[in-house]
Parts: sequence; C-alpha cells; structure tokens
Amino acid sequence: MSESLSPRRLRTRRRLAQAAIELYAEAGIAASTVETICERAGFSRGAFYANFPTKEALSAEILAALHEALSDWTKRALARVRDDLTTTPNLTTQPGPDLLDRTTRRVLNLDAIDPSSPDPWSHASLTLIELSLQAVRDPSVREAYRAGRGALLDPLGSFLEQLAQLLGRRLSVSPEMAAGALIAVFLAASRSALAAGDRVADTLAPRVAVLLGRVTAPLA
Amino acid sequence: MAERGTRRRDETRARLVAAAAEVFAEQGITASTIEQVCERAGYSRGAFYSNFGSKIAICEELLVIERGFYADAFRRGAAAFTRYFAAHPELLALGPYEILERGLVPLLGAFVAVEDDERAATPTNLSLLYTELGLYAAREPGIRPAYAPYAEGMSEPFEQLLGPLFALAGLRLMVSGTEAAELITALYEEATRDALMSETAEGVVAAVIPGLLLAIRLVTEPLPGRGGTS
Repeated sequence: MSESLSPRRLRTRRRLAQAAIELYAEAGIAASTVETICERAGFSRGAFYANFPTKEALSAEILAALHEALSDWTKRALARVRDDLTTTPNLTTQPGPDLLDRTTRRVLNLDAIDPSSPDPWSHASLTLIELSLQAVRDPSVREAYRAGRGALLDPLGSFLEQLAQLLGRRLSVSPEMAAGALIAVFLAASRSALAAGDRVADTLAPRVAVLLGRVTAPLA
Repeated sequence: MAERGTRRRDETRARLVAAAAEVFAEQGITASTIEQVCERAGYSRGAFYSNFGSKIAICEELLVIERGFYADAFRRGAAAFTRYFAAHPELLALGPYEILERGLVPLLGAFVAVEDDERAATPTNLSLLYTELGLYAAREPGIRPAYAPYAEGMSEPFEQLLGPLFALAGLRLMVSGTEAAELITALYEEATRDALMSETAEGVVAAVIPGLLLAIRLVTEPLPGRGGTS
C-alpha cells in the first residue's frame, strides 16, 4: 500500500505521525485534534485529509513510525553492547547479575543520559499506552493497533536473541514471548517512572536486567 | 440534623466520584471536564465545587477509594484461591503451574466481583481507569503526592499475596518479591488490555490467564520434589 506513495507524501505522513506522537504523549488522544496535530507538524488540514480520512486512521502510521524508531534503536543498542564486550575482554566469562546489569546500562545507554534534556522514552511509551487504550475503547481501530503492535515484536525479538548470543546465553522462551514481556515491562516501568516524576531509563534498567536474566539461560 | 446534612454531603461526594470514575475511564482524565462529570452525576457545577476544589481534588479522592478497592480485591482473591483448594484438595497433587492455572480462575473472578452496586466495576472500566490515573500523574505533577501512596498500595498487597500463593502451588521465587510483583503486574496489564480488545467468548478472566502464567513461570521454579510439569 505505502509502496505506491511518493517519497514526499511519505515524508508528510511521517511528520504528521511524529507530531501526533508528541501530542498524544503530552495531552492524550482525546484532547488532541486534527487541527493541533497539523499545527505541530506545520501542515494544513488539507494536507492531513489528503493522507488520512480521520484522526483514527493516523494510528497505523504512528505505529509504523515507532516500529522504524525501535528497529534503529535495537541496532544501536546491540552495537553498544558489542563495543563494550570487545573493549573489555573476559566479560562473558563471568556471567551473572553483574553482566546483566552492565549490559542493561549499555542497552539503555544510561551513562550517556543528559539529565537536563527531555526524557527520550516518554513520548514513545505514553503514546503506545494511549494507542492501546484507544484500541480498547474503539473496536474500529483494533485491527490496525494489533497489527502495528504485533509488528514491534519482530525487531525486538531478534534483538533479544542477538543480545543473548553476545552474552553467551540463549532465549529460554520464544523470541515473541520475550519481546512481548519486554514491551509490557517497558510500558509499566515508564508509567510508574513518569507518574513519579522520574526518568524512564532509571526505573526501567533494573527491571530489564531482571527480565533478561529470566528470559535467557546459559548456553550449556 | 447536622448528621443528616453530613450524610447527604457524603452521598453527593460519592456520586460525583463514581461519575468521575466512569467519565475518566471512558475518555481519559485530561480530556474530561468538570461539566461532564457533573452531568453524569446529575449535579450542578456548584455542587461539584462545594465538594471538590478541582479535578485534581476529585482525583485525589478517587485514588484513595481505588487503593481501598484493590486492597479488598486482593483479600477477596486470596480467600477465593484458598477456599477453592480447600474444596478440591485432590487438585494439589497436580504440577505447580497446573495448580495455579486452576486457582487463578476463582482468584481473578473474585478480584473483579464487587457487591457494591453503586460502582460499575467492569474489567474494562477498572483497567482503563487504572491506566488513566497513571497517565494523569505522568502529565500533572500536582497529583503525584497523592499518586505515590496509591501506587504503593497497589503493589504491597500483591507482593504479600504472592508468597502464600506460590507456597501452596509448590513454587519458589527466583527473584525478589518486589521484582516478581513488578514483572507479573506488567504482563498482567498487557494481557488485560489484549483480552479487552479481543472480545473472546470465554471472557476476560480466562483470556488473561496464559499471560499471567507466562509471567509466573518467568519468576518462579518448582520447589524440589514438586516438579510436575514446568
């Protein structure tokens, strides 16, 4: 479907989705209108309706944008862990909680966080929660939500598989199950962090380390 | 006389809070207005403002009520679980995860069952409201001091429930109680939203059990000698 769209049109759609991700996170879907989304994206309402018949139709594009961001992120996260393992030899000879904690720090890039900058996770997590609530309330958007949300499991599942391999471990459940558990932990940790005024990564890190320890097992 | 006035005032407050819970669950807290809450409760804005100063104030009351509701729900769930196996002791010969699979049905059933007819406690409303309160706290710093004890009040009874539950089933925790509670809650919430979207014939309770069992398997192992099917 999207293959037939011109690059310019794809950019317009993606920019509208990016604006909606910000607004949905800040104010919620119900409080965001097509008008405020257009204003944030710098487009006219005409440009919006040329691409999406309704605000609800934008949700699939938002999930596609999140999928792309997640795929890019998993590549960077794996590269950080790989770098760490090459520059510090013998790390995997002492597997255990320390290695998982260290890996989680690299995965979430905890050491590079600038406390004065906005939380890089808050928009994605709040918007994902908003989209899930929208799908609970509105049967007409469920199919698009389930497809888009299901697609997130692929990059995340293969990320977890590769991560386990780097650590000399293997997944002890299917990649889809491990990925689903990671998304669930991400959403719950984000919500409790943001509701307490904390940074997502700080609350998330220990929970991801625990999850990694339980969805993976030593190779032998 | 003063007493009757107080009772009427309590009723007004209770009806406003119940209406707020419904409206908030339906459309989110940020998008809801005081007018909509008043309309649902059948009161004027004057009645609202003489009881609550703001949307934050009514949310504070809602958080206290929800915390109490969950404390009761956890108690009801634990009691239903114990009662079930007291009535069916032969089931305790099953493997640990099969025991839990059976026991979770009465437990979750008792969790969402409320005798109080004032309150429309459907699983959909509960799940939506719970999530909306978290989103509201993420966006509105003014509610955070009231949200923190609520969040604690949600996780504490759950952590306490896990020990006896797993001991009865023949499981031991492989992570701390807090870590287990966090992981199980996270997967339970996702499974609940998933179940609410799928309109399964067998109902929400049955639909969340596989997700819940996966979470439990991740954080436990069978006690020695209670192997069963793991």
